[in-house]
Amino acid sequence: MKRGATSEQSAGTDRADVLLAGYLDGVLTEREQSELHGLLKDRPELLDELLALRGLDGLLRNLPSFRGVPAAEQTEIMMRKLGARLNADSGLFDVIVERLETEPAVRHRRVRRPSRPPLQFVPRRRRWAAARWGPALAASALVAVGLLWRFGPEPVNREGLGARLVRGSPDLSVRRHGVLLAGDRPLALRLGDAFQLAASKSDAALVRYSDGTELRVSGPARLMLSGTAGIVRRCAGSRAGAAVRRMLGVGPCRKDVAVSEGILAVSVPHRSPAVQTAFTTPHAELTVVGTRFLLRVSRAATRVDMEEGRVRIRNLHTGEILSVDTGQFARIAVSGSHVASSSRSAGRRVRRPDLQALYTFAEGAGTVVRDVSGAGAPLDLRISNPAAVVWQPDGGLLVKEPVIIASREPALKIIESCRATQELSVEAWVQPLDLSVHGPVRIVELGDSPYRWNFILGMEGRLPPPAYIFRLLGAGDGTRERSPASAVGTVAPRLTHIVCTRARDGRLRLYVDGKDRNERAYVHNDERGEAHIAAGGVPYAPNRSADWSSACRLALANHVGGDRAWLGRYYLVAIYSRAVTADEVVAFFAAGPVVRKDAMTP
Amino acid sequence: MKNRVLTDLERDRLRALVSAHQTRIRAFLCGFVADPDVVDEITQDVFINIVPRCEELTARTEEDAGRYLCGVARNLVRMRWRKDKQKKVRWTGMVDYLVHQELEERLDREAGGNDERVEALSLCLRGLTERARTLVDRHFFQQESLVDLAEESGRPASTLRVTMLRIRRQLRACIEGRLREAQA
Repeated sequence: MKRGATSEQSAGTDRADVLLAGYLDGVLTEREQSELHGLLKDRPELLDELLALRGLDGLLRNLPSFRGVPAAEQTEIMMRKLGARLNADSGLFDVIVERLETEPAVRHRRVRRPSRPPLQFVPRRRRWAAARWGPALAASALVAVGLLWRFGPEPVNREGLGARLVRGSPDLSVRRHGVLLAGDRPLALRLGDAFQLAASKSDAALVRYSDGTELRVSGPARLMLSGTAGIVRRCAGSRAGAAVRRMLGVGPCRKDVAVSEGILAVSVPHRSPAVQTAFTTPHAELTVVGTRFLLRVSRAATRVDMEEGRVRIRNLHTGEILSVDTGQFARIAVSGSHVASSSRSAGRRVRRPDLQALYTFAEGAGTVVRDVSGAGAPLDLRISNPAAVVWQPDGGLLVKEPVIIASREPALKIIESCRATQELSVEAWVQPLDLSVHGPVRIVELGDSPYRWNFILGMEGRLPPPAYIFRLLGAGDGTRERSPASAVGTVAPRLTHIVCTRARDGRLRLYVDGKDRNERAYVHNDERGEAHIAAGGVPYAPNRSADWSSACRLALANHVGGDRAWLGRYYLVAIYSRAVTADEVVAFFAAGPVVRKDAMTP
Repeated sequence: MKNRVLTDLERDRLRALVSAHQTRIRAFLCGFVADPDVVDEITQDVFINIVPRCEELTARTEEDAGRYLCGVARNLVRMRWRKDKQKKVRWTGMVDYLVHQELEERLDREAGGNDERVEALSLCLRGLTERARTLVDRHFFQQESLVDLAEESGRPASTLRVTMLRIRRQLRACIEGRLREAQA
């Protein structure tokens, strides 16, 4: 009995710990807050502890020696020089003197009003002068005050941001000066307001600046708004405003948005370049004048999909400068950046007839990669070891360790449709990670044993440098068709678009990033006497896909038997029962890895 | 509207006061204000407010002047809270509200911060294990969120939060122990 009570008390203490820890980290839900509130009411010592720990957090965040010191130096300072630096001035004195000398004195001194002077006789001429110049002086003063009010410098945090939270949600919280404000109703925003959207919710909040700039936020997201105070009143679309600001030496107006995580659909109207709009993410800094784009920020990377206009991007890690135009997207990560000619909007225009299977890797979680082609029964793929893959927050699937992602049943809809047409195309948007491959590792395979497969799209590293390869089972005598290998330098650890096609006449083509690589002659000397491919991709022997095995399953990242592992990221895999044309390949490349539902024409 | 231009003598006196008391004022403010920017702003306001009394304050003992400056800081915090009330800043949670009520009550009772608490904290940080020090460093000084740190270490964020709570408790116990020793 006693033991039970002890364990109950212990469990209660543990719960209190969890709630205290959650409160200090600012992550308690409403129900948990209510629970903690009850505990604090019942146990005053818990409230004492909470206040003490809150004060301790404040001390840790405010140690004067660390304010303004670069993060890299802080650890060293904390470990070695802490005691000596605690009493350092840390620039406070200079700030105080600057404020004293620049802010109006009336703030700091109480001026004793002098007693009212006795009434005096004013000569007629002097009164006339006052009557004449007084209104003019007053008018000038009003104009000057007006100009200063409209265009002049203003201390930070003294005025609103000129933006409103037009629409929020119960999952949104806005932190202002350490105070949490509910984000489920319209709110006038201020400089430094920080948004936290806990739930995975699409278009959960809409922020609108008075100059027309709109941010649509999808969660989970964390961002902070800053910039020039009173953006709209002072800067909105006014060239005169820009000129006056230059004259006053206060610089252009800015809207700054720091995004740590989340998806933002951004629309910035084309206005005066006097208003600069900038976004900062953990990986990049984006400068915008007028444009529409989608910004996706995750821990791994920042991705920008341009719908209209142009954005200049600086990779904060590598220093690369990119310019991304309409119809392009850019992905910026610690390892580097790349721009590709595609966009979400472009994807809408591309039609994909004779599509048999399509995988867009948009699931975000789980052990199944869904076939979203809409053609026949879905041919879903199962991930054999979920720990070997990571769903990417910006879309895509990272295969970090050997794994088999394969259908459970034979891919009959692909096999039968290709038998009927004698044609095939395989399209993939992938990013290889490991280039030091030996055997022909599989990116996409239709097979059922190491030497029984219908086709392979893979990477071959036996003959360095590594190359993309495409092979098909040929005639009934076991001959195999091989496409020319991709050209030197096409395999790199970057997002790559690969399409390989097999036409009815037996011609094989392999395209990398929209370019036909068939111009390179490939002669294969195989001791087994397999079919050779000459320049131009024409096989020696006629081949028929009618000889394909009906037992083959569709597999990604490995052979179905599991000994040909490929490591990298998948963004799209599509299989067609037709040899797509070179023009279509260019269109697919321009469409990028994101495929709209209305583009999936079976 | 004239700006205040300090004489050399006033500058020296103000510099001496800032150097001697800023840590104490920050330590005092940290108990009541969570936002580091607000702590900065009020600390500056304290010294701006006492500029006309620099001469008088430098003539006082350090303890006396420190107490006076903390009194000014207390008034500024009270004014800020009053303004927040006028602007109808809403508390999102009932715990925030309870904490604020308690802080309002304690504000009058608090005698004023002292440098010893900050010095004790610095010594206690050294006493932490390497792992705990790294956590404190990355969370408080490099401002990395516990969610990110948990993701990196492969542990649940809730576990890391409780770990951080234990580190806080350890630091608090250490600081109070050192302060008791100093008083004895």
